[in-house]
Amino acid sequence: MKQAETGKKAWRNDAYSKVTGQAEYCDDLKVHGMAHAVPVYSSEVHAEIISIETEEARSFPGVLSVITAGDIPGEIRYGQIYKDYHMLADDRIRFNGDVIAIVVAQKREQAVAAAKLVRLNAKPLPPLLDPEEALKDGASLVHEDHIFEGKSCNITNHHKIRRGNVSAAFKECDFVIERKFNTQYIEHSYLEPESGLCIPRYDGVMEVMGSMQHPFSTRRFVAAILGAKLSDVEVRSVAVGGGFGGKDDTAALVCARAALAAKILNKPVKMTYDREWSFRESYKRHPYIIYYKMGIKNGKIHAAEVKIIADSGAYCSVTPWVTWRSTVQCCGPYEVEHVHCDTYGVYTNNVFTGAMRGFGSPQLNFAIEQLVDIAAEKLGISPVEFRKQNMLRQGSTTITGQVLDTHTVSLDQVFEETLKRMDYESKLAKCSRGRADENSDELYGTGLALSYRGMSLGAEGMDFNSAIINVQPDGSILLEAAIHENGQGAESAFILIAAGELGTSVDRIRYRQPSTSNIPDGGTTVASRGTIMGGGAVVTATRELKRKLAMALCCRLSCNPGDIRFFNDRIYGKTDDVFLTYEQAVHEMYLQQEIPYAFGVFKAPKVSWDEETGKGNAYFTWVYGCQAVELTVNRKTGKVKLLNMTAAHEVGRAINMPMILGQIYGGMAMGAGYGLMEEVKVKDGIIQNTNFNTYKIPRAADLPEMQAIVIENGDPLSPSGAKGIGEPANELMAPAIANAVYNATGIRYYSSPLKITVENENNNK
Amino acid sequence: MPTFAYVCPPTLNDCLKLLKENPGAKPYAGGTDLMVKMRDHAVSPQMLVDLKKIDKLKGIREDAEGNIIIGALTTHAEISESPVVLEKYPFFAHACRWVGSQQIRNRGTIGGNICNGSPAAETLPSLYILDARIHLESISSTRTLPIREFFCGPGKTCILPGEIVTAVEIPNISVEFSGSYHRQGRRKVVCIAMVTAAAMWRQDETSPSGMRFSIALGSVAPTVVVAKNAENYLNECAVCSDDVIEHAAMTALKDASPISDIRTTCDYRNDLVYVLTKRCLKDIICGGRELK
Ligand SMILES: Cc1cc2nc3c(=O)[nH]c(=O)nc-3n(C[C@H](O)[C@H](O)[C@H](O)COP(=O)(O)OP(=O)(O)OC[C@H]3O[C@@H](n4cnc5c(N)ncnc54)[C@H](O)[C@@H]3O)c2cc1C
Repeated sequence: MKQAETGKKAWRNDAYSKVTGQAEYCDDLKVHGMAHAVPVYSSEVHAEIISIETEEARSFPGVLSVITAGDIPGEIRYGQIYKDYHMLADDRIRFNGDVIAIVVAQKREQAVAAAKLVRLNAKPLPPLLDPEEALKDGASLVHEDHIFEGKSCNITNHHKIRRGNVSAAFKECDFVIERKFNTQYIEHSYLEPESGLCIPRYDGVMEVMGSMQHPFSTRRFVAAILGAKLSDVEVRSVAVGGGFGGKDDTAALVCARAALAAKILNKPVKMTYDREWSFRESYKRHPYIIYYKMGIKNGKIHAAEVKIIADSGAYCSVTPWVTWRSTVQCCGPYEVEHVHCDTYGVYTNNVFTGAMRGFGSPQLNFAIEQLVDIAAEKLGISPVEFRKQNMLRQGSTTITGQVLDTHTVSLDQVFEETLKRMDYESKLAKCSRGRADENSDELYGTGLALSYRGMSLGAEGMDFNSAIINVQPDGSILLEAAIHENGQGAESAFILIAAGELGTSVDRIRYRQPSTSNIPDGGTTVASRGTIMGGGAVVTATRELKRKLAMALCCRLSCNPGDIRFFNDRIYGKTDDVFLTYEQAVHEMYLQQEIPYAFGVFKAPKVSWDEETGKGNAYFTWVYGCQAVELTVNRKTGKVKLLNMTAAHEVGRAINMPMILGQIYGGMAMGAGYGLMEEVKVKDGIIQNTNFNTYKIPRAADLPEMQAIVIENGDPLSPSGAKGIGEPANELMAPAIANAVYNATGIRYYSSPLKITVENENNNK
Repeated sequence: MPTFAYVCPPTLNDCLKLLKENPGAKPYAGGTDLMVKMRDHAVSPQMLVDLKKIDKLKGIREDAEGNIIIGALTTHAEISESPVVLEKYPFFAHACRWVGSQQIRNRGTIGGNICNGSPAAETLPSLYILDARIHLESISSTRTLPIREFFCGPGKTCILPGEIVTAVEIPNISVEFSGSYHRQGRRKVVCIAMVTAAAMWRQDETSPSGMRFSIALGSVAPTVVVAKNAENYLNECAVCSDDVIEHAAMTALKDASPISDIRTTCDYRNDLVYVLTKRCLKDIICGGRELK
């Protein structure tokens, strides 16, 4: 193990342009003759559409077109897994964010004004809002044509784990803990709402720019709505103001609708969402209902029975994938012999849910890490001791039967480092446990949580990525990879990786944002896979380039290809006095009619999964993390004051240390919001808080000092050695806070965000 | 955003004339409430009369009698940093520091805060216990109203058409006194309070303890309310012990009639009334100190 040097200077290729405001985001772009499109919503939550009247809106000054589902030349319905999303509602309104029409006008203000004139005639239907009701036989159907396992129902997916024999195992246990947990809807809160600009090009290609996480997914949506071929749509990157998993489906839909308008009008069309539309329509993190039964025998977690119900809302999006991760990680980073898990995704008429930073783990960790503390207390031992007795170590077997022996299992390292840095155990002894000092209302508590996390997509999907490296005649280098820059610093990481491999300075390398038309689809920028997968492809490409250079240059450098070395921004022969600069090297290559260009692919090592038994090597590698918090709770107001947050994460190899620290600090902050304040409030299927004045995220003033410990164990299965940090950093703080609040107040909260009850001396009123 | 005319007259007279002649016109100060409401179509003025050029509406001065006169256009940032306010009424300066963020405090004015009439407005509980007086002016008249008579409902004030607030006056307090303000929001900054509370005593030989109390509560009723029951109880007690504070804080609940809304529940507001009143009283009484 190496504890990485955390003091390194920050480096970003886009820092200057972003700090100075020069970076262009989609809504900054203007093209000649551009029209503006806006969505039209209805007040309905669930209704049968009878007709949509657009005449009045059409005659509003400046309006160019009002488009409804009937105008779609291609597919009306699309989706990442099931094609269940009506890009414009045609038969029914299935949730309050359904778009019934789009209004296109010369000016955005005109479009906004005209949108109010579109009338919907609809027959309201009773909305199905409770996911447990929706699971029942005979429940009304959100999608009448949806069939799961041969049956019409609201279930989007059912994942299972069948390990050992739980019913027998529970009988052997010393005690069994049974609890129900509920988690809330979370809005991603990316700074930049959705935006798309589509330009019908002279060559017949629809060119798309937009705020998105995955240009290839956008391309599929656009091609579908237009009825076009993938090669007839080109999606180009522009600066993106954050995603956190939230810039997939909705971002793609916004671009698809803009493309539809652009196609119909044969002119450039921009569609930029305001915050309220974004809150209303975009998918959220799934609220979960978790029924958990944990059996303890001889101080070990012997058996676990878990039932998970995830509200998918009106559309499926990636619910089966999100909930698959929840299933695989349903026992946390512990060895458990007997596991029975049933996970359901279910349709309702609520806002739809999908990917969000954490992707199914924050919900489960909120439950597991509290249960582990509960179990320790029942046993009368410290939660630290109990975790040590149960946690995964080198060579351990996971609940899906995967043996962890291809990488360093660093759970004990992240745990020990956190305990040491926090002086955790002595602080644990000082917790108030419901009893405040004589003259203070502040109760003190500390808590922590542990996790392991499968990297990248795992058996959820095909997992590969590619990169292109292209040395120019003057020796400068263009690099590109099929991972998208959402603001996280992916481009910088790739430049650093390539510079490291080639022994050049970062200034020699310019990152070129690829378009969907010049690089193969490398999968979406999700699952903390950017650095591991994109970086893997960059390494492969640079190695291929070095091979080509060595072959071509060995004569000039009077040595064998294998003797050639790349460092100091030059290419060396056997001895340090024989070298070529990149300019000379490229010149030599061109003389030989060799192109210093390489294409590299990184294919994820093999994984496996059996849907029926829940067995398999779910992910090819894993990361480990621990986060802890100290806080006080005011027993009279319930106000929580965070005093300190500490995290230790294993990242494989650290590529850009300040960016890792940024991910960890931001992840803890977001996790604190999940634990304490954030909640999309839905009443009768309608979101009540659609802007940041009512949807509260933590601000700097609400956050305490934070410390991050970064642990490096280069991963042999990752070409760059790096793994990931985006999501691991955001899956632990909420349960750590819940445990700390318990240690402060003596009260357990099973729902997030914690709604702390106060001592109501006045409630005798 | 709807369309409207915008004017920025150079003199107060011009402003008042325009306001009188155009019933659809509204005074525009910092705009931090007005712009939000216009965007949400809660108000749709046909004309905005920007007051920003009227220098005599700006700034804080103390007159010969020790009254502090705060011009309506004075920003929260200016009040919270004002040496005279910090010296005489530090709790009021601190109240202004709670408003929004630095940017909002740099733009938002005391006049706007008062005229907007929100029961959660940051400055109001302090102004209530300070017995502030509101100076009003129209093209044809001027008048002064005690703040307690200024509001007639949520967002409703007694300002007549064509009238504006020119200043807020805090009358000098010639006896010993102590005041405090507490508020709680969902998070620390940029957050409208769920409940606000201010309390004060002034030396008064006629009351048994030698102190006369005033308490005002915000965001617990359609307007800021005076906690009459709690005040009366305290004004009759001879000694302000911890028990008395406790009982007074409980009594304040009778003065509040909160509702549940997006910010919080009625029950939690009641909890906060008790806690915040108690905090204010503790601050000003320093743990049961007697004045006599
Ligand atoms: C992000 C944000 C956070 C905020 N946080 C807080 C907070 O924490 N606490 C709080 O109390 N408020 C808060 N506010 C509300 C607002 O900033 C304050 O109420 C501020 O004092 C309003 O002053 P203004 O000058 O901007 O008023 P304006 O918006 O200019 O005016 C408000 C109303 O008063 C009228 N008006 C203004 N001046 C006069 C005058 N002299 N005579 C007659 N009528 C007049 C206007 O016509 C309008 O109806 C917040 C607002 C925002 C946008």
